[in-house]
Amino acid sequence: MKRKKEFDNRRPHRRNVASALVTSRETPQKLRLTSKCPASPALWAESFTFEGLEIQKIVIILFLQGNSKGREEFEMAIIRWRTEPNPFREIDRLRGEVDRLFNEFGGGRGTFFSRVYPAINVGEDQDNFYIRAELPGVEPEKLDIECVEGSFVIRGERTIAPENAGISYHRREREGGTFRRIVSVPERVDPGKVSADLKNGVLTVVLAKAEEAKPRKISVKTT
Amino acid sequence: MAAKEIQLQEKKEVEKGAGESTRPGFLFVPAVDIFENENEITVLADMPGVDGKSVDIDLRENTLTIQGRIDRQEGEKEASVYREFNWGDYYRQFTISDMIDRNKITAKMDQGVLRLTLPKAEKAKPQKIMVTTG
Repeated sequence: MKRKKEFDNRRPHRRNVASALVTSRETPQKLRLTSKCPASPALWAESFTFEGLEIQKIVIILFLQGNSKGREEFEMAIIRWRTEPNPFREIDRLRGEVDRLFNEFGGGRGTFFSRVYPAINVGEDQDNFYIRAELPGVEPEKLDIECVEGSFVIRGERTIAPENAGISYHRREREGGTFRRIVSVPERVDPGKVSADLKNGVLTVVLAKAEEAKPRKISVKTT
Repeated sequence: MAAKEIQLQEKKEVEKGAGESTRPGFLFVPAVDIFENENEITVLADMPGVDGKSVDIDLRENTLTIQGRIDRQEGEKEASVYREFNWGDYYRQFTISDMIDRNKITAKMDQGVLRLTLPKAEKAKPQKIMVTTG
């Protein structure tokens, strides 16, 4: 589509304020957005989301150091945002969902390594959540699981039994000590239906989903 | 005893080409303690998810190989929601001096920890050498 001026993303932008005029077919008025301009105005423009609006054009106005004299205008037609079902939007939505889940589990955006022992994996099926952790050498008596609403705590101690006197070490990589980790659960679980199993050094906590959180099949009646 | 907190360590993958894996998936290096006294060498290896039947120990020449296979941990219909670690088999090799009594090696799995006892051969035990004066 036609552009008044090509964006040059390689050029460092000294401008610190940008404004965007968005014209859409559904809303006759222009939407005005003003914010600090990041390094690349094109990326900034693309970071907008307009739910349910078919965007006709976007005009980016950059103010040089906040001064209206150093004004530059760019026009870009946005064809990416449309109201029709769009596979890219689906992917975007999905990515947002995944990010939300990561955040709820306390891992931060896209972080898989929480830096808290033990590391956990979470799985789900229709009825339950499964939280698994590798806890080699932890005795069941030294493991404590407590369930509070919306989250639960894994707590325990891993003891490396002292060996007989008169030994000398070649390698010592295994570590003992206490641990404590809190895990939040994204959907409501039934606190009465939590079970835990420790087998071959793997802990599995099964959290039953509350009835209202389970997916329900609705059958359509025909008359 | 004032116990310290355990620090999380990322699982270490076996370097490519080092382990002869016949299965797809991850292959990890188990953390080990190795110590000896005058009678035996003991190896303790953390291999969570491995049961006693899935451990393979091989002593060939001077090379001791430990392999542990894990079964699928997730249920059939389970979908992964969040992942901080990967499941995988274990593989590690050590070079051991040839003074082990191969017939008396014992291995035991307990809560995902392998305990391997390698008794020293008679001739390898320290002997007092009498110095004669003539």
